[in-house]
Amino acid sequence: MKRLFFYILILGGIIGGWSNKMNGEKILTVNRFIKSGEQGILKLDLSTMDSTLIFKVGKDSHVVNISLSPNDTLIAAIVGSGTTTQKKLVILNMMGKVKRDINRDVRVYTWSPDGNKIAFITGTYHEDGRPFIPTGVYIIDIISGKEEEIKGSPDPRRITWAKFDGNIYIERFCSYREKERIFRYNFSTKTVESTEYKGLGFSPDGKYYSHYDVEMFPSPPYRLYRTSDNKEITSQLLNTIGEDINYLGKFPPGWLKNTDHLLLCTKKEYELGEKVGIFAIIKGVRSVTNWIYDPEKNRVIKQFNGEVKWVGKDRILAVEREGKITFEEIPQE
Amino acid sequence: MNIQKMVKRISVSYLILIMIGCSSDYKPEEPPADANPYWDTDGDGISNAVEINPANAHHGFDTTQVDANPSKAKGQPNSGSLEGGINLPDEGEGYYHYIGRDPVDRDDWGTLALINMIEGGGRWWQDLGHYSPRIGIGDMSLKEGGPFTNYYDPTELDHESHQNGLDVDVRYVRKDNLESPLNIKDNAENYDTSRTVIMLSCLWTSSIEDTLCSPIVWIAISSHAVLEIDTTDTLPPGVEWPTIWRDTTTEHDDHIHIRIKDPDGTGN
Repeated sequence: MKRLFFYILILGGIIGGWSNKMNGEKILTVNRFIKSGEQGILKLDLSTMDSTLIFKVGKDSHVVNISLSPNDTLIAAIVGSGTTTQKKLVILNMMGKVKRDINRDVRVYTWSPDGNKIAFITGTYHEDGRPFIPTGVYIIDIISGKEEEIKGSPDPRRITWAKFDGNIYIERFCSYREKERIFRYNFSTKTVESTEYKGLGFSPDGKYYSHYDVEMFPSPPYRLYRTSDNKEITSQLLNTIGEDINYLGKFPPGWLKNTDHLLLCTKKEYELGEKVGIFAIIKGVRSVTNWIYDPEKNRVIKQFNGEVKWVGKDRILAVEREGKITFEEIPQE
Repeated sequence: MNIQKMVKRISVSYLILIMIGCSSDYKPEEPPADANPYWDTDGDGISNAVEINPANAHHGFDTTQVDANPSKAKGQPNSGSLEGGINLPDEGEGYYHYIGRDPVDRDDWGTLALINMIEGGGRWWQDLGHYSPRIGIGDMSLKEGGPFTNYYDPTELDHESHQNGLDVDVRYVRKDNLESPLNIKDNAENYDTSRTVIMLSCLWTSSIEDTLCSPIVWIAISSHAVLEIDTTDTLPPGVEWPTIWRDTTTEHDDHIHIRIKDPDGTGN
């Protein structure tokens, strides 16, 4: 029990970057590990609670944005050093051995749906509002190491390799009022073309997509759209759940893997500690409410409490309640 | 400063002191009731530092007489402009302005209400004994507002908003007291949550303190910032709770984005 508690302390900390793997009988996760200033990647088998520190960096360095490949064979992470603003993308096997080390100030990446390639944006950090000035967009084949540059992408900010059509979508850094925001890389013509889309958070089946941007205040930071006609349906979501937009700014809903288009919406209430004026330090989480929402049927198909730590394969959610992890099935749409 | 303003200021002082648990016998220095504050000797709500700032020479401010507020936020922060923008002095009591890659005095223009919030927040911060680091003030708006373009490539934007003098970026407070950038996700051990909360409280208190300020309405922080607004207290009449939004992307990992209410409404 003590051991379990230790793991949950690791998992329940402020560090994010969750991903998961369900491999036959095993449920593996990779997560950021921080202890005494050292950082690395921790692999954890949740069926046995066996953990292995598979990758470690020095005290001056950090590991962020950790993810597993969709085919569950590789791990990607962004590694930076406290002494420089330069960051690199490392790709590891499941034992933590470095397979690719892309040391070109990589900030943003996305896996191909088959897990064999990664598209990434390189850029230079500077502290003027936006986090980096992009310098290029590339695709790398993990096995061969062959690289391809995506040319003609205007001011790339975010990138996603969509599962539903296999295309790469790139969001441009622009005022939200500007119409040309999302671009698609056409693999056959090797060109970047503009789209009518307003965001790139596509559902697995591509029928819906979201856009998230906190700077849209007082408009909702999270917006949900129907892909076929680009109609915004955020108010439909909010009305059905019965919540206001505020919590969507704190915890933007995410698509559940291995479903067509189910959204997981989460709301947390905090325990507050030290307080100064109207501001307080968050001491802990008092309650977590979740809704699984189907935009097609416009209904909540499941509402439950507890912290959802990751989303597994085979329509399974892992939920933490009072220090225990339980596995719950996602209902059929 | 008239009696009413002074009483209000003192009551806010006590409110802050009680909230941070300081000893109750602490009293910040106040000017006599019949005098204007030392930072604004003509009592026009525009500080001496702002009035003598060379970048504001075109406004013709005079520290010996009451000047009108020339600034006006036009349109929206995401599509607007700044009329009669005022330049923030590059450093003042309790704050400094970091310019990043921009040339001096390109990125630090705002409405008077925004300038007053920053200067007032800096004074609160210093009054509370925080001399190092000072509050790190980043991008505000361009001189005439409008799209905040990249200086080196005007076809690109540095900000989606920051267009009409109501927005300001502020650094997180570092534990090592350096006046340097801090990415709280990359360098979590150096992020001082307690003092960041105090700093925000200073800016908030300043923003609601008098008629030439304008309340903070929105704050964007990193999802790693571990702070929240406690809505259990009572606010002064006419003041609404600000909204705090956590950015789950990396875009606010190295700064807090603060927006104040448009002082004369959003109709222009």
